[in-house]
Amino acid sequence: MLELRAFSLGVLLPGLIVGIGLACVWRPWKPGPPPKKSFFALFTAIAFFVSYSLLLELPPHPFGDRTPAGLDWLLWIALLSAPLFLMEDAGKALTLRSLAAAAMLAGLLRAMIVHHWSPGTAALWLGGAAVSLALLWIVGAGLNERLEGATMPIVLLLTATGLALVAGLNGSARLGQTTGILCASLGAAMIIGFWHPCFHLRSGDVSFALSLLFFLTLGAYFFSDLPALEGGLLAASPAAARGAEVLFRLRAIPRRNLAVVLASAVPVVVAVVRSILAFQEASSTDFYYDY
Amino acid sequence: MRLTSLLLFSLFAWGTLDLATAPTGPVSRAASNPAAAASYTVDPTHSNVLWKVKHNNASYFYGRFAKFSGSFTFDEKKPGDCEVLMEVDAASVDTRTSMLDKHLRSPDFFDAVQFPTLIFESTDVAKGKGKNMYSVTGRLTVHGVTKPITFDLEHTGDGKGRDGPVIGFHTSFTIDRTKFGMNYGLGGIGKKVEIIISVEASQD
Repeated sequence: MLELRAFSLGVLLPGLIVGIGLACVWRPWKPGPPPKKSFFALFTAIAFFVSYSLLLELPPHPFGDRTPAGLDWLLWIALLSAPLFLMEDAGKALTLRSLAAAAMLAGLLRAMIVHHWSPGTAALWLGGAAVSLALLWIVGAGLNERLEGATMPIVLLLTATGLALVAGLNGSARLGQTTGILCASLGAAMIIGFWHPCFHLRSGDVSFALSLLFFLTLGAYFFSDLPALEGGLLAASPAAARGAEVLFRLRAIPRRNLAVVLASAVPVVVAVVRSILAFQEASSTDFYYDY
Repeated sequence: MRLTSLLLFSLFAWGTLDLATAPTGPVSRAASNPAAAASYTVDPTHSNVLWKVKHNNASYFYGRFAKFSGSFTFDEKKPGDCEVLMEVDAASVDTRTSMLDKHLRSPDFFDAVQFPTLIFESTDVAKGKGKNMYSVTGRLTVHGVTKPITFDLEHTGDGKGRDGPVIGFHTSFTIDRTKFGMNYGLGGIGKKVEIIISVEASQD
């Protein structure tokens, strides 16, 4: 059962931060022309940091006496780099965002580089992760160009919810809770999307959300025991949505949106069901119920 | 934007610098001790590293670490010359329940991938209260956090092993896991953890 404190600080609080922030920017009660920026990335970074600090603990910073873990690095760098994701998609903005993503990646996987990988292995993993993230950004930008309103937040929310459940079922409540904060932020964006007829996430917002999702998935894979197949299924969810958008592009918008949401849900559902079955199987031989 | 870029670059550079200076393997401080003290290596087969913690505020739960190594120098007459180094593999945590072991290795507890080794390194050894008792002070690193610690160590005996002289020690001390950044499950799992170490070591 979700405890009251975990719900308040890990779901309600970030949802309120992002929801109130987006509502102030978009004013859905008095719809006018859409604002130039949606500020989703900035509000999400703030919500992520505040909620994580209150729910778990203030993440150790690199200049303190405690070694920051990968997620701590990710949180600090995400907070500092969020303004870069507000910039429009000019070449300079893309370069700066890429640098920010590279810093998040290096921070997240620092422990692997220090303790576990040879330089060659590290180069392969970091290069592969950079290419995968770039592909995700391209898929997300292509999808976001065509989708209005709540559809894009729903697609991202499905993936994030799947990751939160799968991470929790595969050994780390902490990773599940951290991803839950992102779910709450996306849920708030979804509500604003239903409310304001012209709501539209900017490409930087989508890149920011996809980066956090990708890095949290990597964190769950390397630091917890997220199976590779489940991780791959979750990463495939935005690509499946993009495929459905291309296939149903000429159909009526509600039907296209439904196809996009269903296509993105399929790999997520498969990943969650697989995790539940694996958890049940392990529980049948190993009696263990959290603590 | 420039300030953000500068801050990001500083963080990145700090991480890189840290990488370059990070330790790459176990330190063998004990081996550099003056000749008067004899050097020993812990025999992992005949040694144990256990821990115990209150569960549901009702019972004591015991676990162990299956993999560890250690070396020390010991001179009964000059305790100040003694040095101790123990390294424990965090991923080897064992409770006889594989799902619990998996959870203990995860970021909720030991975060064993990111903080693979628990280390104790002595900074001072003095004669303790009572026969064969010593007071050991040093630095304990758990979950990436290093704290000073002092505990009583009992010299439990000397004997003859297959390959020469062997020596035994026993200690138990309590740490507050929240001070080491392990805050998960405080409702059901106590924050005080008792570490119990019993070692047999053979002379080098």
